[in-house]
Amino acid sequence: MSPALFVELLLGGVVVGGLYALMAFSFSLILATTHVLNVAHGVFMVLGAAAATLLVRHVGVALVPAFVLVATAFLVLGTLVYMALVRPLGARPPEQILVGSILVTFGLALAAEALLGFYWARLIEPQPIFALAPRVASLSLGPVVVSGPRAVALLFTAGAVAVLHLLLVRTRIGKEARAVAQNATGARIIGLEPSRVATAVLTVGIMLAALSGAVFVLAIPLTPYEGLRLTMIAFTVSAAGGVGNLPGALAAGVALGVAEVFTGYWVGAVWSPMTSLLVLFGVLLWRPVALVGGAGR
Amino acid sequence: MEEPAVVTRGLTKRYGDLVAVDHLDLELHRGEIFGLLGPNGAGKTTTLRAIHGIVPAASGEIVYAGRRLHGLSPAVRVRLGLGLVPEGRELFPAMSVEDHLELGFVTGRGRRLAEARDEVYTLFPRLAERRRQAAGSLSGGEQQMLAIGRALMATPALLMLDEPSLGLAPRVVDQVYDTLAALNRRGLTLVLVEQHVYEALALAHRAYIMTSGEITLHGPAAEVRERPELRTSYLAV
Repeated sequence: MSPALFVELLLGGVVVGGLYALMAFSFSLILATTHVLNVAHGVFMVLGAAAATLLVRHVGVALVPAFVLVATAFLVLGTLVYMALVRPLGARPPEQILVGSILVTFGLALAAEALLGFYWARLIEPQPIFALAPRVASLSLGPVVVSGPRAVALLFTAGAVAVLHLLLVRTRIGKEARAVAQNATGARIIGLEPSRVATAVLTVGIMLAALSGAVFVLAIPLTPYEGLRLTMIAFTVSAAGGVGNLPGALAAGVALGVAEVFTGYWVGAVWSPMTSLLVLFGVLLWRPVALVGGAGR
Repeated sequence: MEEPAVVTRGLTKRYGDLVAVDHLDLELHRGEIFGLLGPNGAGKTTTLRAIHGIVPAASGEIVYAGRRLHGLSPAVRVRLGLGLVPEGRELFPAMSVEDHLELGFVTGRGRRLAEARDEVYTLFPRLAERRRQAAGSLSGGEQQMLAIGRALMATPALLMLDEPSLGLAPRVVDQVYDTLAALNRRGLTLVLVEQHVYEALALAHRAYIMTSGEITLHGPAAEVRERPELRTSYLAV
């Protein structure tokens, strides 16, 4: 393998992995603060990709306004999901919320996938594929050339990680979210409102998943039925990187993205989705409580 | 006599078949240190948690400063001036001392964040030295100081402390108790739940001894201390 190809593949892995990390971190922060295991999380990523594709390719909105619209729409959708599906679970014990949320969001995921696939094929194009092909100039960093879409994806990931970090470390609501993730009882005792934190984390988390999806299809196309596979990736990254742990999610996401790309190159593209499942098996064998352990670092 | 700080009437809490608190009638007076004492499993922690709202009472009434607390969330009760330093401290292990104090702060109780924080640091200079350190890396005594400091940030009128001496070296317990006495001299009403009956009776003004969810003995702390039944009721379980 030539060094140029190696760098090319590595970069591709980092781009994909960074977006996996963002999506997985929002998934695990929701899990840590609300005990909601959002099986539909990957589906929101696909829905974000679909919404961006619709706006850019079929309505003719420019890329940046389209992303702003997607973010706004999914903040609203996230609030609705919270009010319709999560708030009714109320102050039940965590195990009941966990199990209840798996069932409810699994149903939501299946319904959303089916509706999206069906109506997109019927109303927009017969073979639904979500992809954006923006004309963005490529970036030259010495001998390495980064394609425009990849550069946008990398910038988006870096920006989103920085914003998330600042939100969690500097703002009151971010600190409240970390407190609830680390010790929900302690948080209630000092008068924090878990429902306030849950609303914020769930809406921002769903918005982030959708936005990651919109950016994802700058580099790699998605189809309507990939949501649950992406949720499994969120699982894997959260288990490997630690629930509610941003640096951990970033490391695990990037490692997984790179592993997928190299598996695809060496073994064959059909095998790359297997990578995340093998990693998940490995992590769960090594640390069976990975998904329910401590959180919110 | 002035209006009591907290009154409970017929307070009952069950966990399945187990009656943790059985028709409890309490009366706490403003400005006093009130000892709620008794052996393990007597229902003391449940009583505090029911007053604070973190566990809902099954039946009965809790009145604080003339207001019925029924149906109010812990967040509202904290804003009304009820504070709890829970058993086991319930800190956020990966967050700094400073973050704990900031999270404990409640607006609208007449103090600014910086003011409240400086007061806690004056009370516990050790916390000021450790302000950037994660709570999980503090010693047991420092964690207890942080739990008390965090509760004080909300400017409580009544502070309930659940086993503040648990797991601490005797020297540190003395320190914590001295601080509590100082806080009380400034007008803070304190409820002290302890298994270490005699130490707590030395600090408290009045005490109730609780066994199996009921009050078995009560009165001024100095009198309760001398009562022969103290030993029997304490050993009855």
